[in-house]
Amino acid sequence: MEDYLDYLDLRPNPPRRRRDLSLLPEMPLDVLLEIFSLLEPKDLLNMARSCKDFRQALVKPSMMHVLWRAKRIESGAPEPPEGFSEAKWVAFLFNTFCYSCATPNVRTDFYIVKRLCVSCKKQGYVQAENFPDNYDTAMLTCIPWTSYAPTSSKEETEDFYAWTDDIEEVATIWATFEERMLAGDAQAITDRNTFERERSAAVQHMREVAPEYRVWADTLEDQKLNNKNHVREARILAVRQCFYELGYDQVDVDGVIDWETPELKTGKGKITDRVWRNLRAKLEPQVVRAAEVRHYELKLDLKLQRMFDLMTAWNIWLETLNLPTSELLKYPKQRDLWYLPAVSALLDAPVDAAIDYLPIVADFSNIARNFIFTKREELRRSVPIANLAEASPDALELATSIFSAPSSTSHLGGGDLSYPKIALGWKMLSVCHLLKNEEEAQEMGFSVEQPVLPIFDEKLSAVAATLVTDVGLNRYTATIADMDALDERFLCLTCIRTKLRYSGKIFVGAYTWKNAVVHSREHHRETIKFERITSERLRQRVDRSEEIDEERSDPDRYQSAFHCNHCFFGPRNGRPALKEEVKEHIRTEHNIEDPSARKGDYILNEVRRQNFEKPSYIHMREEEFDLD
Amino acid sequence: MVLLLTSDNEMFSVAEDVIKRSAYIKNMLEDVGESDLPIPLPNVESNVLVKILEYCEHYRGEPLPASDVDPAEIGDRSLDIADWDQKYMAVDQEMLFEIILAANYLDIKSLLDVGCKTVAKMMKGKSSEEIRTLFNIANDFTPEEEAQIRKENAWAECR
Repeated sequence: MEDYLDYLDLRPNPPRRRRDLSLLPEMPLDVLLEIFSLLEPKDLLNMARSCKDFRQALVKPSMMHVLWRAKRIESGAPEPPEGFSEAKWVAFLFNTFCYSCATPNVRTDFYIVKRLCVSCKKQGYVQAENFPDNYDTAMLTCIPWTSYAPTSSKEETEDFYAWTDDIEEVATIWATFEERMLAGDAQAITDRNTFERERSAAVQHMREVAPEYRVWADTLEDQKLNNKNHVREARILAVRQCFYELGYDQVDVDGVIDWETPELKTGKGKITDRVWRNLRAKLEPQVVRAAEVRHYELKLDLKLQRMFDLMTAWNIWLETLNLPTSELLKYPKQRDLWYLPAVSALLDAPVDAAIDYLPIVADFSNIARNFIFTKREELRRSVPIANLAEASPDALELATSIFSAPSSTSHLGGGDLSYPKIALGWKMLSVCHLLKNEEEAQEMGFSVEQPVLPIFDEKLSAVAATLVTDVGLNRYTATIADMDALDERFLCLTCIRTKLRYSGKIFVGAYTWKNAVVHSREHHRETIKFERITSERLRQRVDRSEEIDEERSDPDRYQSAFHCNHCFFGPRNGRPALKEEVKEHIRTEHNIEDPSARKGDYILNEVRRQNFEKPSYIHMREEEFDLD
Repeated sequence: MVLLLTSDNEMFSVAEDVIKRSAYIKNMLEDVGESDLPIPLPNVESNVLVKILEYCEHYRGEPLPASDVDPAEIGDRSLDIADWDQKYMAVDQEMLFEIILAANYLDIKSLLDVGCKTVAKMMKGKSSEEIRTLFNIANDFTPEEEAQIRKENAWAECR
C-alpha cells in the first residue's frame, strides 16, 4: 500500500497550537474508524483529497480491509479487478470527475477503465482504423478499446476507440522489448510474449466484466436518484405538515408546496427548526397568497352566479319596456349594475345568505333612471367652473368640454374601436360605457372589468378653446353644434414646421375641429398650434380631397356604426354594423320596405360619429404657409 | 462517592451510579474495590470532565449499553442524534475533540458514539474544499499531486 503514497510528500506538518478537529488524523485508530465507518465512500474520498494528514489517515494499511473493503461490500460493488487495491477501486467507482481534466459528473467507461469528459475524449481518443501505421499491430490486443464514441457516454457504436496515453504506454513498453531484441537480448522475445499474453488477458477480462460493472454503476445511479427523490418527497410532506399545523388549508398548502417548489429541491428529508424557520419565511407568503386567491375566486364565482340571475331578470324587464335602441344604449350595462351600491351589497352577501332579488327587480326602473341621471350630473360637475360663464349653455354641450378615457382604459366607446379617443356632448357621453380592469382582481391574477367615467381633459379643452376663438366664437358659449355648423378645417402648424425642415413640398392633414383635438391628443399633447384654413383656394383643394376620399365621401359603406332602432340585437348581436347591413336586417326582420334614419328605423352610434370625420390630406408648398 | 483527579489536579467527587457509565471507571472500581484514594485521570482536564459528568448525570439511571460493538462490523449506520445529545454536542471543535478523546479513554461507548456521529455529520456531503474550511486546514497538495491523485484510480497506472 505504501507505494500508493510514494509520489506524495508526506512529511508531517508543524505542530498546531489548538486541539481542534484538524487534528482528527491523530485520534486513536478505533475512534477514527468509528467516524469513517459512518461516512459514505464519496465523503471519505473528499476527505482524502482535502489534505495530506487526512489522506494518510485514510490510506493506512490498517484501513484497507476494515474500511475500504467494508465500504465496497456495503455498496454492493463488484470485487476489484487485478491491479486495483480496495481503496483505489472504491475511489475509481465513486469519484465522478474526469480522469484527465477534473471536470465533474463524468460517466465511467469500464471498457477502458477511465472516466473521461467529452472534451478530453475528443482530444485524446484514437479510432481503431486510425491506429498509427508505424506501430506493431500485435500491440492492439494489449490496449483497452471502447465502443462508446467520444460524443456519447451512453450509446455504444460499431467503432472502437482507445485513449492515446494507453496506446503510448504500450508502445513505449513494446519499444523497450524491440531495443533489447536489436541489442541481441535472447530473453527479450520471451519477455515481450509474456507481457503481451498477460496484458491481453487483463484487457480481455475487463472487456468481459465491463457490462457487469456498468449494470452495477447504473443501479447505483438509479438508487441515488430514488433516494434523492424519496428525500425530496419526505421534505415536501414534512413542510406541508408544518403548514397544516399552522392552520392553513391543505388545498392552499399543496398548491404551493409541491415537487416543483424550488426551495425544496435540495436539502434533507428531516426539517430542523432552523430550516423550517428559513423555509417558512420564504414559503408562507406564497401559501397566504394562494389562500387569498382561492377565496377571491370563490367569491368571484359566487358574484358571477348571482349577477347572472339578476341579469336574467334585468333583460326580461328591459324587453317589457320595448324601448328603441337609441334609449337602450344609454341604459346601464351588466358591469354598471355590478358596481351600483344596492347591487354590489347583494353580490357581496355571505355565501349562505338567502338572496332576495325581488326588491331590486322592483326597483329596476329607478336604478336605470338614477344611473343615467347620476352619470350626467357627475360629468357636468367635472367641467371646471373656470370654463363656464353665466351665459354658458349646458356644460356638457360646450365645445370646450372635451373628455377622454382614463389611461387605464384601453378604448373609449367599447368594442373594437381605437378611434376616436375623445368624447364630447351628452349624446355621445350617454352611450359611452368605459371599462377598466379592477385593481384588486388584477392583483389576484383575474380580469374583472369595472365601469369608469370619461374624465374631463384640461389640455384638450384648452386646445378646443383656441379653435373656438380662432373661428371667432366665444369659448364660454360656443357649443359643439355651433362648431360643427361652421364646418371649418384646420392645419397643424406644429406638424408643418417639422415637415418643412426636410422638404419644400409636403403632405399635410386638414382637420375638422374635433379631429384637430384628437390629433393634438395623439401627437402634440404638450404644445400645439392650429391655423384655420381661410384661403378660398386651399379650402377648395381640401374639399376636392375629401370628395375623392371614398371612406370620407361615402362613409356608410365603410363604417360599422349603425344600430337597428327596432331591436337591440340587430344584425351583429348588439354591435354596430354597416348601414346597408342594418337596413337589410330591418327589411327582413321588421318588414319595413324602405327603412330610413329620419323615420327612426336605424341610428348612428354617437361614439362612432367621429369616424366619419377622418382628416383628409393635401399637398402644399412652402410658400403657401405663413408660419409667422 | 468516587473521587476523580484530573490532569490539571482538580478533584471531583462523583456519585458512583453516575460515573459507572464509564466502563473504565466501572472496571477499576470492581477490580480495586472501595478506596478513599482518588482515581487519576491523566488524559482528562477538569473542564472536559465537567462536560463528561454533565452527560453521565443526564443519563443517570438509564441502562448501560450492551457490550461494545466490534469496530470491524461496519454497516450503514444512521447519523440520527437525539435532541438532547445534539444540544449537548453544540460546543466548539476543541471541546468536541476533547470529549471524543475523553469518552474513548473513559470508555463511555454511547458518548463516543454521539461524538463520532457529530463529527461524521459535519463532514457528510461536503466537498474537499468545504472540509478544509470546516476544519480550518490548508490544501497542502501541489497541483501535480492533485493531478496524480486524480489519475491514480485509472487502471493503466495500476499495471
